[in-house]
Amino acid sequence: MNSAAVEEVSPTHTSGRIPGEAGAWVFIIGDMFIFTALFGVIMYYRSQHLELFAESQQELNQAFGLINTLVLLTGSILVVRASAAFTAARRLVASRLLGAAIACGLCFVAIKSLEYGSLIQDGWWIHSNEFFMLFFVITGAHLLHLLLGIGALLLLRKQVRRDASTRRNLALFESGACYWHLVDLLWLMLFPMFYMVNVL
Amino acid sequence: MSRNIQTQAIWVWMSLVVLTTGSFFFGSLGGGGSGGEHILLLLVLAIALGKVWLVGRYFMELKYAPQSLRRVADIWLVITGCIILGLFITSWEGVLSG
Repeated sequence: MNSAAVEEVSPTHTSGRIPGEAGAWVFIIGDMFIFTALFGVIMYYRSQHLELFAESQQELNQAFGLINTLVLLTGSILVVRASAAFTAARRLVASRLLGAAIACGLCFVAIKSLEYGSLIQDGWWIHSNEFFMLFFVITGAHLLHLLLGIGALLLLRKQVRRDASTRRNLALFESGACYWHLVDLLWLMLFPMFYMVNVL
Repeated sequence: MSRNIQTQAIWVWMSLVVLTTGSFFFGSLGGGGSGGEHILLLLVLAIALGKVWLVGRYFMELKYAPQSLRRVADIWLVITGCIILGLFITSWEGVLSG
């Protein structure tokens, strides 16, 4: 390991260091604002169709939502630990932790597929009503982000196994990790908005 | 990443798990039409915003980021919070008036 390089990028001071690549943050912040608009759309439609949203929320399985939130949070801490392991040049540990985080992502996909399947079987789909239109479109967009996140973690795992933790590689790792945390962060807002607050 | 930061991240993760499960059961007490129960749901949304702040601060390491980036993230959180909580509160009046 290039210890000098790692020391240089370690956040042991408060003078300020961008975690990952600056370009990645332009994308992350942009995506966050796009989702803010979508959150606004959910809450606006909710305010216009309170009864419909309350009835439709009853059709969702809240346990699926809760488990998926815990799964994503666990995936996030595994990525944090993997980042620490990679920084310390413990590449095998980092690779295994990334593998576990990928498993969390796949678990989320499996639960979401079960949920979508169950809803579709019960006759709920995009054109059923405003709630389900927003639910399928926005959670679908989030799922797409998650699949990209799994792809990013797979690439990071390959990189961790192959390359040393140089400054450049650490920055790439942190960019991928921040994207993964973004997926977690967006779900933390979507979960209560779709599964919890729509009651009369 | 120092051991201190890792330990901090584990504590944050545990807090996030407790806040998630806590607000889930707490939120399931809501409903039924009274103002008090809607305050519970407002708190659920506020807790979710708090969890987002924790993820940004400690998992995305914004705590150690330049002030400009931290400020952008904080502005995003304030705008998002105002939109979500504002629309929730304005719809509340409709619920209470029946």
